[in-house]
Amino acid sequence: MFLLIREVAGWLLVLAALYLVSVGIDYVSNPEDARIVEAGVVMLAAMGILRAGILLVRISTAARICDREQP
Amino acid sequence: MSNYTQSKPHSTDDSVTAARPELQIMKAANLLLIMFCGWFFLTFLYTGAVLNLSLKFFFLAILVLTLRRWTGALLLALLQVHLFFLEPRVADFGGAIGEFVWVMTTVLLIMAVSRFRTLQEKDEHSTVRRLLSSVISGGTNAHEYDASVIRRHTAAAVVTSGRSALLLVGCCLVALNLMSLVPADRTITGLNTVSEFRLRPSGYRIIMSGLLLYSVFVVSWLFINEGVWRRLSSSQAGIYLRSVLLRWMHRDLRMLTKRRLKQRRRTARHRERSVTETTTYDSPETRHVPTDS
Repeated sequence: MFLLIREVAGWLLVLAALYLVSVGIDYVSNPEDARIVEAGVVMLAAMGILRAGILLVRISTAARICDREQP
Repeated sequence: MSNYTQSKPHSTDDSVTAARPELQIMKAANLLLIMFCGWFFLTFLYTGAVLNLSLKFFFLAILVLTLRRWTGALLLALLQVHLFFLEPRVADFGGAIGEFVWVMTTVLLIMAVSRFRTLQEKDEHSTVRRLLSSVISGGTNAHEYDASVIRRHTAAAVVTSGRSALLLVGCCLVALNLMSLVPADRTITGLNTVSEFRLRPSGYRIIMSGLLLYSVFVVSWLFINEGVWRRLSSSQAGIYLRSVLLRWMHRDLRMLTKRRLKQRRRTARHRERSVTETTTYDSPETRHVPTDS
């Protein structure tokens, strides 16, 4: 159960990072509200959150595999 | 031990004998391609920039190091820098044909570097050394193979070359389409980039296409990697978990180890000092010998 919660949290972080990436693209492409520097900051934050989310997902997946194989 | 010796021979004669000829030929062909693309980029890259020569040397150093250790991402980043600052000059260079040549050479370079690194992992013998020894000996080191072996290797090489050429053309078309998504002289939405961002449309084009590519890359990489990750065996998963735990505990472990080492060093110093004092006390120079007189 605990591993499942970790995995769900990881996927939520990944989704948040993808949302931030879309926000960054929107900052650059929107002619009404054009912000280049802010887009760079948002993309950096997205990369950090993506790394954390993927780490959580990977650890919980690996732990589940180990848990499943144990007698 | 004997297996290791067989699979990884060290002496030059043995290595030449044991090297797989088709891998050596493919490595040599990829190396020639890399040299050709490198010559092209060194001729046309950063032309007109203030630090032209330094940037070219930097590119050359990155290219050489990429063959040994790094990935092609750094080369792509250097090309992005070139496009960001000097793309209008690239557009002047031959128009659409120039753009196609530019894209094709870039894709060819990345493809050749990646292929060379993959072949290098399969066969660790030095291609340059082998070519040089072959040139010096005048081809006397060359092996003789029967017709069936030559035919099989030639057919395999033709199939591989055809597949690579198809892949190259496909990648070039995709890259050209991607570049045409964001036009060079204006933007899709009609945005005035000079007044809005203080950027030329070409610079804006590079940022925009880079962001689009990055988002596509992230999503595809995520799903492919996570799909592959779920096929781990339990021993592999255990190794990964232990390595992550060790990375997280690294600071604490280092602190504990340092403290123990310091304690051991201090104890050893005390012991050394006490031994020195004892020997000084017992040494014949300091010992007072009573004389009979």
